[in-house]
Amino acid sequence: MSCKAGVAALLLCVACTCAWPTRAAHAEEPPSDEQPPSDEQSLAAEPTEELPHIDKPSINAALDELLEPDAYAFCRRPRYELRPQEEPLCALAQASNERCPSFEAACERLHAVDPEPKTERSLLGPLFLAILRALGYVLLAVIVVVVLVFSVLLLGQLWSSRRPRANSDAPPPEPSDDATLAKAADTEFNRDAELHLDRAKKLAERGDYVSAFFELHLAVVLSLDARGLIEARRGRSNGDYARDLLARPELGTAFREVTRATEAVQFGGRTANRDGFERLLARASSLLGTGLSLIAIACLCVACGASEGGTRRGSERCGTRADGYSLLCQLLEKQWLAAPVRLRYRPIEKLGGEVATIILLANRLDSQQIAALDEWVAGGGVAVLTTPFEHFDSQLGVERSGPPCDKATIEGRTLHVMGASFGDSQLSPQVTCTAGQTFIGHAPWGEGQLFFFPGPEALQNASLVAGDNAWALSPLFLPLRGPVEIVGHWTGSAADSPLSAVTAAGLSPWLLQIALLALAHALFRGTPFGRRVDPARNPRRRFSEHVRALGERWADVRASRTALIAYSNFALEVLRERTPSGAKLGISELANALAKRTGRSEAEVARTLAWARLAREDTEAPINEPEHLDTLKKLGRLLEESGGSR
Amino acid sequence: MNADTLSSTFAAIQSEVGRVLVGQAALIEQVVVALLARGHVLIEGVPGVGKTLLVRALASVMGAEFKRIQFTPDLMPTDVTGGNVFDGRKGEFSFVPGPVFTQLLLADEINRAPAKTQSSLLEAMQEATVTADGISRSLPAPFFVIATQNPVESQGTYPLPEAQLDRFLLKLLVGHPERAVERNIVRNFVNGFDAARLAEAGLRTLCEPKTVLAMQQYAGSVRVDDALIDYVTDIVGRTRAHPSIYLGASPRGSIGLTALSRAHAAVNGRDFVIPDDVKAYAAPALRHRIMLHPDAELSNVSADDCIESILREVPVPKGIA
Repeated sequence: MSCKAGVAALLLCVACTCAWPTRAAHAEEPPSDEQPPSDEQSLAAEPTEELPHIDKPSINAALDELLEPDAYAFCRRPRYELRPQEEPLCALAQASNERCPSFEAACERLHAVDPEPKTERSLLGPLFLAILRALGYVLLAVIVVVVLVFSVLLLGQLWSSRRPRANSDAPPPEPSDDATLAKAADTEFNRDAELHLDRAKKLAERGDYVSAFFELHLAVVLSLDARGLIEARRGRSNGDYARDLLARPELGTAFREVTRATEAVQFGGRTANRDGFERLLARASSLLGTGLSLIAIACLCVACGASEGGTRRGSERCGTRADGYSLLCQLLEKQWLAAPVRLRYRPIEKLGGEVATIILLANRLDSQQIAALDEWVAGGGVAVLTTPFEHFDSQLGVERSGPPCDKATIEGRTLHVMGASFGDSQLSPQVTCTAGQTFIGHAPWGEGQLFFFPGPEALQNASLVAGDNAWALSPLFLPLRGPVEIVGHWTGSAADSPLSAVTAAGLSPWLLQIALLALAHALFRGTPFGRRVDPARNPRRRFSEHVRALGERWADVRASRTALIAYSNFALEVLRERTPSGAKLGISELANALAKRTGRSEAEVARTLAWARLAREDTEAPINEPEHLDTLKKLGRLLEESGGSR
Repeated sequence: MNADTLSSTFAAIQSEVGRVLVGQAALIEQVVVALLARGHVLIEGVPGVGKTLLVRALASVMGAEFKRIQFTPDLMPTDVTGGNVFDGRKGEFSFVPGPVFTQLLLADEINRAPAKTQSSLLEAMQEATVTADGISRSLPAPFFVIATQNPVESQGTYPLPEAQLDRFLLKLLVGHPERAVERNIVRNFVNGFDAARLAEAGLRTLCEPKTVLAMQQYAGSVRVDDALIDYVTDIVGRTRAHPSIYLGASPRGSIGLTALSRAHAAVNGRDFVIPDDVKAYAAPALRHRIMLHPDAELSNVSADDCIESILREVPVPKGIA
């Protein structure tokens, strides 16, 4: 790939990276919104259809398999240190002791540790993070500046190469015969490289490989010309283009190879076939800028991937700490639904048919987003709400002030829970606390369904490893449909385009100022990095130019007498030649002859000739500059009227 | 003989001659290409730039017979071609061959002799024969003339007639070497190289005359596409319509340019001609075949300028129109 293409690709990639931090940073953080428990107990779910069944050993085996690698540090890592967000989950530590001994040990240490050292740690952490963040911003700014400078240089170079040259090396105009002009008109063609590339492919599909070779080569030449790397003209040959590319050896080599193959077909009578065409196409790709296109497309896909609902698997990004959701994601993906689970980066307003179920871990939605969610659920979607939602809560009379719940049951299975439960509501209970109040409720909403959790803790990793919680929750999740998207505070952070990512990152004013500065610099300093051209040759000046320069020099020093002497010598000689026996005639006879020839009065002609001879022979003659010039003009007219300027 | 063999042989010759003729790779290539195109070369340049050394080195490397004629104002045609001389013992005339009977002939300072003597080479260069007293005698093959001439502005020179100029396939211009090249030349001299004692330079004989003949035969079989024939005729045709040119190149110029393009393609390992072959040899093949208008000469326009402008204008076949 060419350097310019690389720069352009780099520019795109940086634009992409601008979009990336806004979601990547959040993706690594598990959501931590927590809600107080309610104390109401409800009964089982409404059976709508026969549910698939997962037995306890299989889900436990799956859990053990998921926990086997050391990805879940809170479970297996010795001396695991809890973060503040994880500390409330210690209520489930005892129940998870079997699978996660480290978690319980960490919780026990928590109560035994003196709080003072924690203060030191909390001081160091933010400082370190702040330094890292600052360094990150500096690095990003440097990259952006470098890319901008390169892009300005690139644009300048392209601009200068497109500018008409002052010293055009176009040949002097010359008469052309009609046939040549007609031929030139016939050979007009489109200079769009893409068009010729398409033509080449179509011709190859039709089996006309000779023409395909030619069109492909033409596309290469036009592409290089469009990028300012060569100057494509009718009289230039492939060798000329190869010499243009001497400064770019990697392109030069590729171009020579493509040219050699093409010329062998065009001029060497070689046969062309599909294999040869495909090899040529592959070799030409670096010259056509295809590499650039691929990288650009790849970058755009990465940057805008979230706009299509996110392509990263939620299980990889859901968080593996105790308060993360990786186990939920993986169980949904591998055990319960066998459907993709993703974090949702696109705004909630753009929910559509590509998602069947969403799990809301945070409620930071504005009224417009809530309306969109309402509409989506009513249209047939399933939403699992783990956080208070005034919009739905009020319409369904959901009371979140139930008593605390530590154990719940679902279809006879025990669920170790913590926190609040629901009070009186219109929800049909799915999971009920041992005291009878609803722990997880359900309500239909239009054609869709809503599931209400008192808080997100029941879905966090610490909860799913506790006892048989994963098995117990299976009946709840098995009827759901995929794909599943998890909504949190990262939702809406992805940009629809690299440009909006830059804008969202607050870089637009910076970039605008830098671009303006670069533009001003380019305009002020010019583009000395433009294409090298041979200096214009300065041929020896013509005789007429020499005469003109001499005349100007005489005019500068007011040497009118010198000019008159020089010109009168020439003029008298020519006038005598034009007059019969002129060489033998005196001034008066010459004047008489010229008067007859030109129709002027003899006195006037005689006076002009006399002044001319006087200036030549008498250096003391009392005539001044205007009279010199007047005599010069009169002599010139005499020459014209007597037979031409010579 | 095939393209690869020819190309590698050429590269070896160029490299070997380049050992003694420093910094003149392009000149060596052009001379060898002219030899393969069965043409003759006129080299114009100031004395002392290695013209004679080039021919001697080339003869040595190719294992060809070499002779030199120093053209002077009193040189007679028979001094070139040879003639019938009366043998007193036999009582009859017998033909004494002149120096033209050789394979590589260096006609040094050819424009120091009058037109009569210059023209003695016409038949030899065109037909590779010499006719004396009605009897034609063939010259040994390959027959290759490299003539040198001083710039026409020099005193005591006789410009070559158009007919004689037209017999030369190439006219090469040799100027003074660049500083770095001249430095290497002087360094070689300091290290003991003496152009007068070329045998001591240890030049290897890389081929023999029959190899050269085979190379010439192969070069003559290189494919020329119809589009390139049109290209050549377009270029030569435009020399006849150019405003700065009084007399354009003849059809012999078209033929010569085509032959040179073939030979150039062959030395580059190709069995077909491409437009770059034509462009590479358009100027040396045509510059001596055109006459400029006096106005153009006064304006310091050269034949090369005209050819360059023609090459810019004539569309390259299958290229950018």
